[in-house]
Amino acid sequence: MTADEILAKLQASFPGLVKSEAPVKEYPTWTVPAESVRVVFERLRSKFSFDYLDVVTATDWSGPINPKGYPQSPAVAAGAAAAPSATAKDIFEVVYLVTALSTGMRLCLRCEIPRKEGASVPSLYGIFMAADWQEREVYDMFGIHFEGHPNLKRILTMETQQGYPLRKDYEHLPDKFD
Amino acid sequence: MGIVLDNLSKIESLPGGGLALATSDSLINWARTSSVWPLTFGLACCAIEMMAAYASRFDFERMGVFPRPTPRQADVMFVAGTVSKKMADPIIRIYKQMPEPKFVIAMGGCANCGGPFYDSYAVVKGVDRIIPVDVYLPGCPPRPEALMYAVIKLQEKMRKMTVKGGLGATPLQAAGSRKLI
Repeated sequence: MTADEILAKLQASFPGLVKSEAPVKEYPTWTVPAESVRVVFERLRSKFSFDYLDVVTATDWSGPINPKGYPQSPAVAAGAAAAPSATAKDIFEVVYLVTALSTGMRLCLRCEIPRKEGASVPSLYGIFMAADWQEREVYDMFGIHFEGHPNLKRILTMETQQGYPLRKDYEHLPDKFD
Repeated sequence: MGIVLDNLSKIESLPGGGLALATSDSLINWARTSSVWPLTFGLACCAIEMMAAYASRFDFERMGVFPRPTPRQADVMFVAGTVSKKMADPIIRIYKQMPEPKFVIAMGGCANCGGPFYDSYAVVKGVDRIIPVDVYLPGCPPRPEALMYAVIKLQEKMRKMTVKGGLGATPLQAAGSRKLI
């Protein structure tokens, strides 16, 4: 069964699930609305044997982006007016990569959520064991809350860390080690 | 038993043999410099070079450097690698568990000053911000020979310690080891 056939079957239940315009690498890439993230992954796991969650990560799409596509801090181009980029959006994008180990097929699912304090998506905890630590890492770096995660606390940085380091507007506040 | 006394300065063999005289400083320092026992403790890629130094090609043990698995038995801590802020508290704790006199070798650019992570949000910019350091060893990572050279430098430092000076904790240690954050 190809990715497009799976997508067609899923779209019958979840009309919000669409194919992304820009695929991630060569993977079939879909955009999934936040409210149906959990049910889509449940269906993918139970009906289509996508049993391995490779990656949960996120992107902060805000801020000026230079023509090469690399984000650039406004502080770098001091004085120069930061040109608004067509790709800059005020969203967080949570990115999931799942694999069906039996067939080797790999899917990329993206979920766009408004960029704000306390932005949240449903947790995949309970569907994939791997979601536990990876969602904690995304929470640690981006401050995205995963609803339903039983132990959502910082995993890599220390407990006293202020702010979320991979956000574009992160500013480091000196702590006792600086 | 074939104990080599060449390095023991101020030794005096009495005629007839069977008895040797030496100052207590030189005896203690001879023992201390001949058994620099480090803690088995590595943080990042510098630890790979440290392991290579322990292994057969470089054979650190011929210098008396024999890794100990517990801080209670260790004399020196090689801080081999990047000190993340989350690791800072365990390092202080381990350092406090080591018996006096204790020494620290900061191995590699990261442990010296943060190295390539000098502006990171998560890295301590030099382990000397949290514990006193005796020998700074530059390199990224330093070769095993360089680590041996650092131990030789530390041995030079140990030879200057005296019983009179409170069994020597170096001035740095005497001041620093009780002023940890």
